[in-house]
Amino acid sequence: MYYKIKKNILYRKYKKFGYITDNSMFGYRMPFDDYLYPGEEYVSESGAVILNQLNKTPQHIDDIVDRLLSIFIDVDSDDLKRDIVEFFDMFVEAGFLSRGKSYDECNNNDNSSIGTSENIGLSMQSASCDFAENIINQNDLLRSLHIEISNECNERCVHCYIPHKYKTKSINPELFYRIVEEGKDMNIINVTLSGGEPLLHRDIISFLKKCRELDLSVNVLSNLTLLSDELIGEMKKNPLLCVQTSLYSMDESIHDSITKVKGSHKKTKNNLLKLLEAGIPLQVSCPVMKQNKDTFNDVIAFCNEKGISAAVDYVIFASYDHSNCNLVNRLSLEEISRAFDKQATDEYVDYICGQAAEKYKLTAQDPICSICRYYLCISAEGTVFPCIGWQANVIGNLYEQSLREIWETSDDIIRLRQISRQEFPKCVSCEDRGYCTVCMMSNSNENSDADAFKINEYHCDVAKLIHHKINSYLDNK
Amino acid sequence: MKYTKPVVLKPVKGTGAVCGSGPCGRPCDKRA
Repeated sequence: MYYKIKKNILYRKYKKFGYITDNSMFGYRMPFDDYLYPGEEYVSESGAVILNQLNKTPQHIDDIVDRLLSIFIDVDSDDLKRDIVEFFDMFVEAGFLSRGKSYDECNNNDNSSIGTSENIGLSMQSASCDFAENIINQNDLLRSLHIEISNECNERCVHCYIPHKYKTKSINPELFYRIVEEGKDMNIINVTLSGGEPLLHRDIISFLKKCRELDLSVNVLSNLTLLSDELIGEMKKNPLLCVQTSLYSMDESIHDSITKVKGSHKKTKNNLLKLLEAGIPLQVSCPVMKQNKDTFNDVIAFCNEKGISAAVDYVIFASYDHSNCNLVNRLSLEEISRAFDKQATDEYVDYICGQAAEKYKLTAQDPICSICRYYLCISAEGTVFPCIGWQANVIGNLYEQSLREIWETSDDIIRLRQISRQEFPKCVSCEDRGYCTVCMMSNSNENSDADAFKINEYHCDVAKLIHHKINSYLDNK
Repeated sequence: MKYTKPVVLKPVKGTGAVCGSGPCGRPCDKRA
């Protein structure tokens, strides 16, 4: 019998445990994707050593057993083989591994969309009384790096949180390779490559190739105007690669008035469709602002028709130089109210209500967000900052320190990851908290003194408004 | 290395960290 890790699955071995996950936690999912994602699981120390024998190429069980007999010194060959088969088969049933009587069958079975069932998930978890959280250290949880490989951009979007005057640098390729290699040594799962415009970096194809060779999940955030067939070819080679682009309107003149580049809509839309045809998972982001408040809904309709996920946000973030210069494009409460009315459907309202229900469950002791707990952001100049959009809050420099040194010893990181909701006392019991996102980056950028704890009342008013709109919608049903 | 039968560990408790759609276009409760 042959076994392999499925192509859309990632596995990382730590000293005391192993971690296996699908990419849905890290990449984008298409809306009509009916694949049953197996989720994530942690395994014991010996389980980690055993799973570590597998990769994306089929391997015969006897070869695996032979290798493990040189690692485990006190086990009989037959007993070991029986345990391994039982262990692997559990992961095959759950959708993490592929199995086959021959090398080719094992590969072919990787293409089947057999996923997990709830029962299988439960049976896996009941296999042990050890809790993963007792074994995992916070330092083990760096999952993702968001790297701005090129701050330069060929568009001048009016709402951008990066001040245009700073869009001048591209990352040194040597630094990029060092970062992803250090990250992989620390067991990261995912990198997000953004800008500016990441496709402006002359080494983008080599960067994507390197990430693929390191078995990394990759998200590319791009306006797609510079997409080439060669780039699509490399993107298709990584089954863990997803792309996100911003589309502001289906009216070319409105989209182009936001990007300030005539002809940009045509290029972005056409190249988005090329990626769709190439089978690459996509997400369209559509921040709503004054320019597209009357036409953003057409983007949602376009995405629905094409089967692409669309993320809509009524509130744009302030630029990180604290000038608030981009906020002239931000919607007023009245405009948000009208935008909501345009977008409101039973499905959308259900989604918002579902999110709200989760937020109402949070306690004062829960962390305010996932900042500095699972990911770090890195600028083209090698500075490290806690969250995209919060470039002004520098917490390390990769030209002076290693990634591990920053992640494990930075006082700033340790302080930021400990911030809980109780540090926002007004928010903890606010009746609109289900419809609000407390965001330290957003606060800091909007305040001239960079105070991350001082909240602009506008955000409170937006939450109150959305709460009210949802209740009215449900009352009128 | 001493051998013990491999097992799946019980899951990590939820993080309770839920955010909205960030400028990276993805909910911040995702770990990326």
